[in-house]
Amino acid sequence: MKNKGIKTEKKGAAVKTVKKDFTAIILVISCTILTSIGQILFKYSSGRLDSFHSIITNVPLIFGFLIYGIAAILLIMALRTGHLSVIYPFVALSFIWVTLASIFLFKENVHMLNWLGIASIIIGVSFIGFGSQK
Amino acid sequence: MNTQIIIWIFLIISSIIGSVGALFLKIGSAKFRIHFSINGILDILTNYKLMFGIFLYGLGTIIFLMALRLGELSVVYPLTSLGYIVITLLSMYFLKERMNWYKWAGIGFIILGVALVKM
Repeated sequence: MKNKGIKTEKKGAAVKTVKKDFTAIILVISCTILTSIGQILFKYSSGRLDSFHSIITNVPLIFGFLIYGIAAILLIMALRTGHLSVIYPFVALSFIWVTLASIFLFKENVHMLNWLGIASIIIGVSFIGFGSQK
Repeated sequence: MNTQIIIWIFLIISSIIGSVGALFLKIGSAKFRIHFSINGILDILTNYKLMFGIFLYGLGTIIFLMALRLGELSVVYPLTSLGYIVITLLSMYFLKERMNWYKWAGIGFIILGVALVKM
């Protein structure tokens, strides 16, 4: 009887961890979408960065920073709730979103090698997440 | 100077500044609490390590923009993953975080990925 109780307790804890990780994943995916929007705004803003004045009056740049800030808060919240090894692979999703944006918004040519490189970067970031667990 | 070299210089400087910023964010976040009150906001604003981290992060981003201006987004953005390498190494030296096989493999894959993207 006693043993069974411990088992259910353990199971309960595991379910809780999965739920926490799930919440963290939702937070991180939202974060990568915001980061990518920020990045698109940064690319738009990079056309005029000639003087200090052009930096502080650059509307896409300011919005980009604002969105980046919100994304950072989401990431901090995710890092507090979930496991690093679960979160990091999702952080790297932003590389996919930004590449898609480059193709569709900025009409850049993205080659096969580019996608392979992004796959390798995502694997690398995931590995660092696994290694940083604990 | 060659545009490609200038892009690399901007990227490397921005990765280092951004990563040092992240280091300060990490140190500052030790006593960081999110609660929405005047005291909560004051706590964040007077957390100088956190503020310095944010400042460096912003500075790193502006230098990154200089690179973004010269290159294509689909090439320059993936190169920001170099920051993961710098952060991992800085954490090893300054935060005494242990390195392990996973992290070295991660660094290897990122370097390979960056090389493929830049080809």
